[in-house]
Amino acid sequence: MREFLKSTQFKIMCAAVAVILTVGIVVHVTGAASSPGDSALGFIITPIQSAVTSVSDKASSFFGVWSENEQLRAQVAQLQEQNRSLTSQLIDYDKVRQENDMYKSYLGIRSEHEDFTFEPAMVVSRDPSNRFGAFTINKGSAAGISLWDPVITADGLVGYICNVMPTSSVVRTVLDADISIAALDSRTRGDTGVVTGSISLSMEGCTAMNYLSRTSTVAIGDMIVTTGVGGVFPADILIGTVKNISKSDNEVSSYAVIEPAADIYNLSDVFVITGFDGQGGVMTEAVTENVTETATASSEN
Amino acid sequence: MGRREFNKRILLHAVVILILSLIQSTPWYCNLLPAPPLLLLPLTVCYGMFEREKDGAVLGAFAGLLWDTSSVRAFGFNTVMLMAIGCVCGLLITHLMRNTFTTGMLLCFGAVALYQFIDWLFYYVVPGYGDVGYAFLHLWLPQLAGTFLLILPYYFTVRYCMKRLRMLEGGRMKGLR
Repeated sequence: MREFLKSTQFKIMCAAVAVILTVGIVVHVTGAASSPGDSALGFIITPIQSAVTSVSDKASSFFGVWSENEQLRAQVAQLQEQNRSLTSQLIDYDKVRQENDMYKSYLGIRSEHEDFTFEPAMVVSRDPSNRFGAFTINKGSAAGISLWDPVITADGLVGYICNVMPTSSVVRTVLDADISIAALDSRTRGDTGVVTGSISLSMEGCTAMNYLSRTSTVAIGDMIVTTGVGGVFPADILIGTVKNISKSDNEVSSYAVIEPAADIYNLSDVFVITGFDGQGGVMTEAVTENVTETATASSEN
Repeated sequence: MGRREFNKRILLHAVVILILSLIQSTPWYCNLLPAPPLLLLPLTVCYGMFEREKDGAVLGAFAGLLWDTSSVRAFGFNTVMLMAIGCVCGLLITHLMRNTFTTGMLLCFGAVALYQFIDWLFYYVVPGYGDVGYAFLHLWLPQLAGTFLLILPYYFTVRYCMKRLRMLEGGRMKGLR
């Protein structure tokens, strides 16, 4: 112990303590903000501390990004899920809106023609080798559809059923050259003719009203409707509007080019009229007289 | 060649026919062009050439049957036509011709021209619809050309698939150069 107290190391320690104490007392007595030692030390330490702090901040920020990434990933997953759910709702909404539109048109037709019984159907396929826009629908005899049933949309007449299977049916359209529809001008109510398609007109999406008498007053823009003669199509169903009027090759009668009201080549939903008053050959007296008169006039001319 | 492998191959052909038949009858495809190419016709020719008369006829009949379900024509028209095409192509390759791309083109042209001519004659000229020349030039002829061109992708695809299938079955392709 005595040896330690006499040693140089002890003397240095004491000297250091004395210096520290002296500096402390001086600083305390004079009220200085920092000691020269602190200042000198600060001069060296501060840049190092800054560097360390900067590195530390960067490290903290780096690792913080990782932890934030996890949170962000969770948020992205959540948002994606939300997005999926909303997209699904949007699809449902579109489907419901489409159905709603269809039922609205159904109601519209229904209120106009109370005697009609309908079967809504969807266009499922078309035949690329058919030149007149014929198509297949997803309803057949199992849904009460039978041969010759008229097919319409809210816009107008489409055609009739020409082939029935249990779960599907084929529709022949108003563009077809095989179709014959007794029609009249809704404006004059006196000009009648037969609507039949042709290959050149079907390429333009049009059909023709033939056998118009020479004295016919049919004008461009007139609406052509069914007469109901023959009992295949109900009366007063819109076929289309007159686009052009020309003389027939034989010069005896003229014909009107008709633009169908229904967009035949772009149909997705249709209505099959499975029943209506006068179906199967019953015709009203007025229409019968009208047609007879027109036919007589045409033959006389 | 085992019965099982054979069934698998025919089933694969049937699936291809089904898919092409569905594509061919979609409203989208039919509205693509005024006269879109007939997808099933050249396929039947290829199957007739590679599977020969019996299986060609069966596959042709299947293709025609599917086609007839969406057709306005008398039911069975396409079935009979495609069955005959598949069978005749198979017979010609077995007895008269070699199975090459040139003969494929020849047979496809013959089959498509025959089909289009019968279609035009019996479903357009005979009923007296009029505009006969216009219809032939603007609809039948473009459709004939479009359908005929399909032989190029069909022939090589079917040939490649048949080679792969026969290799898997451990056999060799009959008559293929």
